[in-house]
Amino acid sequence: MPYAFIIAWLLPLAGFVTLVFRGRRIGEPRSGYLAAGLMVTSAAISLVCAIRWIVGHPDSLNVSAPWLVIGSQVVKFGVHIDSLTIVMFTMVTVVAGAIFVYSIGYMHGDPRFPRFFTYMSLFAFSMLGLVLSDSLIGLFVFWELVGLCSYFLIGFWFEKDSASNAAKKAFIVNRVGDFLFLIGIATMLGMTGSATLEGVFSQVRQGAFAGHGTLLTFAGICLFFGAVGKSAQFPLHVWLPDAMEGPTPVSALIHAATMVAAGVYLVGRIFPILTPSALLFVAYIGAITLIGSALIAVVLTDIKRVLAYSTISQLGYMVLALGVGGWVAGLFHLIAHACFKALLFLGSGSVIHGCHGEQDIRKMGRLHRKMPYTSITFLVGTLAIAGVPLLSGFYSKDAILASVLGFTWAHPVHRVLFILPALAAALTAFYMLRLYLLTFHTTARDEHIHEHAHESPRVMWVPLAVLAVLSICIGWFGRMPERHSLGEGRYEYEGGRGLVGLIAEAQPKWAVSWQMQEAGRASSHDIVEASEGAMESTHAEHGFHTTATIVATAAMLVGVILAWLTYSVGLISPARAAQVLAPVHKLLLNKFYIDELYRATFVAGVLQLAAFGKWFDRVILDGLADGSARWVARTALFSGLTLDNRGVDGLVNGVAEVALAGGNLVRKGQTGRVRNYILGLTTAGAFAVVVFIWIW
Amino acid sequence: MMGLTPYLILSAILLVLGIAIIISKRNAIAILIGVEFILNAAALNLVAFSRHGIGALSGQTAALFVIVLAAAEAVVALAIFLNFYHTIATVDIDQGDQLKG
Repeated sequence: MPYAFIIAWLLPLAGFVTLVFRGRRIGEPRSGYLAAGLMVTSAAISLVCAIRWIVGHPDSLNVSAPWLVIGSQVVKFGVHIDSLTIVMFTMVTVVAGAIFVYSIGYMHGDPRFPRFFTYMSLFAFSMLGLVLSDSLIGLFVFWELVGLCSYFLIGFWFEKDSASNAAKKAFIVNRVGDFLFLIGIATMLGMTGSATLEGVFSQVRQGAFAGHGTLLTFAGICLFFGAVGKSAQFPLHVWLPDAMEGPTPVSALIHAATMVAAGVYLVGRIFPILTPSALLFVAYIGAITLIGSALIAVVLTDIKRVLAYSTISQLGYMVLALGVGGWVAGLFHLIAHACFKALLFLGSGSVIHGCHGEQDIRKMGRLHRKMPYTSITFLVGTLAIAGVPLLSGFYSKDAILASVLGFTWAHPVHRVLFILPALAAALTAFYMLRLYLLTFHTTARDEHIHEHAHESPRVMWVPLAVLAVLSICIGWFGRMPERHSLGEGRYEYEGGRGLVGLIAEAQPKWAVSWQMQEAGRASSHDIVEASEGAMESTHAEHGFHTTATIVATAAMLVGVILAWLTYSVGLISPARAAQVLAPVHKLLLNKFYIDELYRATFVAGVLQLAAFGKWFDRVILDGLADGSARWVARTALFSGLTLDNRGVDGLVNGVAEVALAGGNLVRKGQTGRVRNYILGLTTAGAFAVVVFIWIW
Repeated sequence: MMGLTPYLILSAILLVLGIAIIISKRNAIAILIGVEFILNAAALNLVAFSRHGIGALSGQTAALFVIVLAAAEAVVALAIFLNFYHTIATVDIDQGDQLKG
């Protein structure tokens, strides 16, 4: 039965191969039906497997085969299936299935319709491969493949300069993270001699890094930087908002639900080898990201960019949760976020489709009547991300805040790690409701667009409805498993239920105790404390739950009420607020000038370097080349005119002339008449006979 | 019973006749006849030696081969002459002096 996953994994690949060779022949609607059909089949298979797992037939699988042999080092390529794999796999296939179906409607009439589904199928295959991989190397291969698909799809409408630039930006920014990721993998391979996750873990536990605690921290941070690039965390987040140049289903699938979450998944997978210092670094990166991007999302007016910054912010939540040891909470939020963010993106796509390509929310308004299905599903997504009780976002955000609260309780020094996400929770509710109200309610600000707006076809709103149902009920029936200490740093988990229970089943159980031990080895006071905090937080998730729920709900209410007062009732004028807070507003509109900063430093630096390179090339290298060329020319002139023409040619011509004269002499005998030849021949023969007899 | 000598004399006469024909005649067919003369001179020698000399049958066998060879040679030579005739429209081989240096 676990092999059903392999089949489900290969179905999108089959779609890709078919479409890449026959795509243009298959044509517009049918290539979409083919890809979407395969994806939905894949989703159905994985759903069946997931349900089998939940009702008690765990189909775990761990197979691998040698792939590369480098000296004595064998790199294996294998598949590892545990309950986290199942959850991720099912999430990816289901969301992708919905988005594929939606794309049939959204991409209707595009001249490169089959190619779109070709790339999407390749992406689905790569993403599933990433989830299934059992080694860092395999993970990296698929990691790059999804990055490549992302590049293709962001630049899908490459006729637009902005789209092709955004694609390049995404690719290059990801290179930075991937390079560090590769350094991390190399460090792991070098120190532990193994690239599989299991191998690395067991080697690290047995002390492969004994006495090199700092190196382990460094390697962990390097690996985390892969996630920083892919999951658009703070220093490398700049590519994600620009990636919105791609078609909206791409934004929904790749840049909201799956690929960007791969970074979080990676951190979850390598969690056991992250030292407490590395975890603290992870947590702070997450916290900075989540508050910064939430602030930016408040002022933007492009519907997709607001969602993009919201995605970055939510990914920050997940990273923060993992950083403080809330493993289950972070990955739970990943799944919940994938559902409602895909829903929101598809909803925005439906709005853009209905408004004939308009993306500016300042020109929308009162679309509620025109697009009832889109409006309702969008509202569900908004409420889910805002954290309204009983919707999925509420449960996951709660779990995260509880983890963080547990951590900060043990370490009051880091209390900012709780304040920031609580604040961002209010901001999330505010900007999402602002987006919803400005788009679907308030006044119709552009008559023309309002006039012509229309609901999207059924092929587009049915996936919306499916995702809306998932966004509502994915958190239900969940219960964290109880944790019992067995002493000596061993724990037993039991009784988890629902999605959370399924995720918790895959939790690396030895991680926390090992991290404590490692901290003891490093014997740094601060690290010990952090590690205790990480342990405490898992333990305390229940104790702090009530407080976290109250804080999260209060923050959500504040955000919702503020947005309602501002945009629905009109008590607060947004224009006035922008005027009063002009410097802040300007700072946020320019996204903290991070793009400008990069342009002034890295881009300008590279340009300077290029200019230097050009100068070096023109003046020094060309000078060298020209100088040597001149020298060569002079030598050639001497050897050509003097040596060659007189010496060598004379010799050669002399030989030729001798041969010619000899030939002319001999040719006289060649009359061409056979009779002459035979006469000569016979005479010579007779002469030879005579001489022979005479000598005898 | 004749001895070996008359055969050898006849053979030598045939050989010289053949060579003389080849050297003096310009007609390709005549040259072919000259070649046949030479071949038959050789065959006659073989048979005579077989009868009066060594006494084994190998000489007569060789003579049979010579006859077959002569037939094959005639075929090839006629083919060459046909082509020659095609290109130069005559069987006078003095006209075919393209090999002249």
